[in-house]
Amino acid sequence: RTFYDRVRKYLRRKKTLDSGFGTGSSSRENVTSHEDNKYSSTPQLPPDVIRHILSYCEPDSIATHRMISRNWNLIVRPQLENESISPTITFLSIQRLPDNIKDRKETKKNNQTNLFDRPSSGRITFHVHLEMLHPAAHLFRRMRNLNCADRLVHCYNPQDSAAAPTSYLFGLNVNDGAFFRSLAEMIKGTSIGHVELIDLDYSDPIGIVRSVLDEVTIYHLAFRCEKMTQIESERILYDIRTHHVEKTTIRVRVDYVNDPRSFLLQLADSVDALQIVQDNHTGPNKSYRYLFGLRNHDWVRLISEMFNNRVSKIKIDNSWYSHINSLDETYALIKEVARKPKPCWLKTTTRGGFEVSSFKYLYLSRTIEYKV
Amino acid sequence: FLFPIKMTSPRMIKLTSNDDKTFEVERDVIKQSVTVNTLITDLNMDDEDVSVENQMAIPLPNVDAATLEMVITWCKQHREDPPRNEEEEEKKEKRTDDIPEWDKTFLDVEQSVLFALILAANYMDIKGLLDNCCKTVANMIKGKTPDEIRKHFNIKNDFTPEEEEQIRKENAWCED
Repeated sequence: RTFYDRVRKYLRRKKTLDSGFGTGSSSRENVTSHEDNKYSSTPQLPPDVIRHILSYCEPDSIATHRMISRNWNLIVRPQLENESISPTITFLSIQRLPDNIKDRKETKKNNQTNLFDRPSSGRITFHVHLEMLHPAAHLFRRMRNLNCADRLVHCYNPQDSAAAPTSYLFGLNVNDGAFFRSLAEMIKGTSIGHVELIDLDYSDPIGIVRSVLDEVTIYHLAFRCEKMTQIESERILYDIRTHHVEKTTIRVRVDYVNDPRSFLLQLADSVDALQIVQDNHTGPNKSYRYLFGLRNHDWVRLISEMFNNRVSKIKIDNSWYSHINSLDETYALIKEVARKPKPCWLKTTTRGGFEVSSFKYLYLSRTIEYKV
Repeated sequence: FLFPIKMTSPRMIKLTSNDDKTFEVERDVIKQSVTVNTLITDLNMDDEDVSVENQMAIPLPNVDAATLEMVITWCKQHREDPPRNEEEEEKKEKRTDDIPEWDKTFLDVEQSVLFALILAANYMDIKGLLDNCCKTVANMIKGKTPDEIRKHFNIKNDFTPEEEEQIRKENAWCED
């Protein structure tokens, strides 16, 4: 009797489990209700089994399966919603091509049919690179609606060259407003792993291009620009907050931010991870600038203050704007960051040939990587 | 030195269907059922001191005798299959043209029998059998219109015209 009690208890527990594949489901969820089931000899299948069966059907057939009955619609619909939520788009890059390069190309290769070299009434040319994890049914269909065949420069599947493409490269000019509107419609409501905005400034109609991302959640948002103006810095903060960004990368060559301290502290309050790269500036106004113009001890104090905010991971590469004297600052910074109550990860590269190993500081229960 | 060779017969397990028919099946055969395997382990039924005559039968209240017999036949056929790696199975491309020939013939049965097998495989947690049954049903669904699927599986269209129109609208963006 005890044996059977235990067996029954186990089987009862198993029956009540409803955690996906391989477990039974309650009859309440069955596909057709008893009164509707004319085919009494055919047992009814639980929703998880139906989902498993449909997983073997073409992704395009979701629309067909939704039309079968209310219960099938209820079963299939979450799959559709999950696809919209999951980051099937892994990477989206929108780059404004330098006008002078385009002009040069146009002059040199006037006879070529390359899309980038076509003369256009607008002088601004864009490069849009879109990568999907897999061509999910709804995105694939929306992709077709982009009507972008003549703008497609290259498409391929990095995993399997014979499979359907998942990586698309478009060449566009500013007059392709319809494309950008369709792109916005296509990615609306999705979550994108990594978005890169390169050399997009605020002049109209680039604002329209940027609004492509209006209803998108982004994990990693990267900005790359030659000159960062005050307006651009404000827009960056706005974008980060709007899209619930967790990680951001800012790569600039020259900055004209009015209050860099405030900007960096606000950045540190908006993301978990922050990467700042200051590229080599070769112009006539070249000067040693740390973190948008902050110098010496301020630099140390600022990073320390940044760690007081939300950010827990900072990577700074400003090797082009530092010098050997920054070694002292390094030690000061390490001491400062090590005192923080929360785990902090810091990696920074400055000019010089000296390296401090991080393991010495592990007893402080955090990792500090430092290169000089 | 000569050691006496102990001849051991294969360990047998008793299974009872919901219509009280008992089957004896080799332990190695039925281990493909995660449900039964877990029961055997949890209830210490692998204890060699208990003879099959004294062994309690495992009740399977959701499986009838005819279906259980088919499940056991399938398990016997696949007893030599390598153990499944679920992570790898997840990564695999979802195909329906890779059902083994033996399974194709075995699963070429009436729809009600096939559905009963699916339910049994799902209940007994035999993933290989469940996969092949589901692939067989998926092959029946592929390429059919909603109306054809309804007819094939005898499903009633219980949408109101308004609901149907709403779904059509929602589907509009993904139609050609």
